[in-house]
Amino acid sequence: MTSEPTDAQLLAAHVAGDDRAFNTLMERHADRLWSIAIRVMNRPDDAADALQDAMISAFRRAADFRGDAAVTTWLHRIVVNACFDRLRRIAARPSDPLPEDADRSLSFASTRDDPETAAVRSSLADEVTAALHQLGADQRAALVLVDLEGYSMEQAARILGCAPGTVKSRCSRGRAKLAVLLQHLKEVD
Amino acid sequence: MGTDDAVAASNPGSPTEGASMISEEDVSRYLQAAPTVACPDDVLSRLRATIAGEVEFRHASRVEPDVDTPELKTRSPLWADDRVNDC
Repeated sequence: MTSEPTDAQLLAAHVAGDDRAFNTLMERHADRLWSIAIRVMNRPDDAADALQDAMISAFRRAADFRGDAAVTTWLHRIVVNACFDRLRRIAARPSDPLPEDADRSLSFASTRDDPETAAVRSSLADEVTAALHQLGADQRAALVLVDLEGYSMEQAARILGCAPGTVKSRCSRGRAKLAVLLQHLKEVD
Repeated sequence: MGTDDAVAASNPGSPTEGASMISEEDVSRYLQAAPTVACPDDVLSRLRATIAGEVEFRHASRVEPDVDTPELKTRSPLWADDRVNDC
């Protein structure tokens, strides 16, 4: 039985000229990368654009990966940076109307839930995503990395390019705002 | 909740003011419980097409080593490993 190549092996193979390696790596992590992009950005179209920017950047800069962090951490950093770049560009241009599907329900990677549990989780994810979008991008990104993706403060700080104390402060302020926005979840708990 | 109430009381105008708050731990729990969002098929197809374009671009811009002159570098005095004495 042959074992699957690790992320680092796939990235090394890509740098060495393997044409399929990067695609395999991207598809392996597509759901998590999309989760970050859609929760940091406000609109699906913008999230798709940011993720595309990020994948092009990762493809071209793969040789710069030094291996001192996990490949996923490196990819997440590139996605977050691409999202911030997009948000800056969006802020600088006149606002566009929201697309008709901007509030469409998200579909989820896990399909193992029974229908009732899946519905509850779907509803929760919609609530969380909507509440996150009430926050500023900095607080939103910090919470996405720490609470949703499970990174430590130090890891999130490396991804965001700031001090761990800054991440801690952003998370704390973001949670304080979410405590108001998600108050109704406690009532249905 | 006591801590949050104290925070609200000491931060007039803060988002916690005037509300019976859920705790930071509850917020974290809700966030952690939110499932990973599946990458939509149309987005994934677009990413695949983008990467295929990048692969083509890499092929087109690759400079192959000059197989006819493999010893060119080693013969060049610029690549000699002799000591240099500037004195």
